[in-house]
Amino acid sequence: MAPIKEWFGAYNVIFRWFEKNYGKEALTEYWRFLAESCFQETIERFKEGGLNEIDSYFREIFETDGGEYTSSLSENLLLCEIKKCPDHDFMKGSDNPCFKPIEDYCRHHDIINSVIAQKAGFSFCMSECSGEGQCRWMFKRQGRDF
Amino acid sequence: MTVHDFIVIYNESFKYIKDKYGAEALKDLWSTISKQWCTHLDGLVKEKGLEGMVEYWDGDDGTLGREQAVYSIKLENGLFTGIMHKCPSVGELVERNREICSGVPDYCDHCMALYAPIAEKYGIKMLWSIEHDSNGVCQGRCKWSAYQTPL
Repeated sequence: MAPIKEWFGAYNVIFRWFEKNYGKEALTEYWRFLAESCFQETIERFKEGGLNEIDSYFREIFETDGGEYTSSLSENLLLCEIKKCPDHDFMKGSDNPCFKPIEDYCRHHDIINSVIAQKAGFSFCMSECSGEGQCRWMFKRQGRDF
Repeated sequence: MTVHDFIVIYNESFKYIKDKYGAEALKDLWSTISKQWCTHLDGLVKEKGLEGMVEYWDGDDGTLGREQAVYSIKLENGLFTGIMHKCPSVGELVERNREICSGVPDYCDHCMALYAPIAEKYGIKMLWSIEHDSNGVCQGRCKWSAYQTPL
């Protein structure tokens, strides 16, 4: 199935619904559930291919979705810089007020990437986030120094 | 999380919400999505009625074309009918070996939950017929029709 960009807005609507009805903790729990239930193929891909594969995965996605992604890869560390997040790019371009990102929108990347990384044998950190579609990430091989 | 995983996430979310918070909570989410996300459809139906529906799903920039659905749509004598021969959404779940949200409500019920209320706002009645297998699992095939009321 071909994905459509409008679904970025749907994510935001769903997140806001969770937060409004069940609170921030319930929203975080939901994100953890998604990470554990929806990304088995991604986790296996990361386990098998390591940091190289993590880099390829995000490079492909950001390229396909019209984002801007650069990275720096060493043996034990992958540094990612997102200069244009497709989610924010879509939502900023919409006049639907319900597509204004919730305050914690970017945390879903933090939570989900952290769980996926940990299950694949890595650690993840969102070292910087503008809240406007620019951020920096680090994936590190667990138990290794930089 | 990207839009490439949306359908899997959508389906798992339905199951999660139904299990954790109940069927009424899931219907409430769908109602919210209908009001807050389906604004493009809302605008088209408000402006163009049944033709707006055709444009939303079947137009040059229609969602079914972009989602690569296999479908047919007709608007004739004030009756809008659609047949989904192969729903790309259900197809993706099957392809990715996902257990489709089943029971009451099930995965396929979300379409009617999203779109029928919008139609109703503008005096259009929308009816849906969804195919299930012997275990009650939706098959990615359905029919829908819509007409302006009163006839």
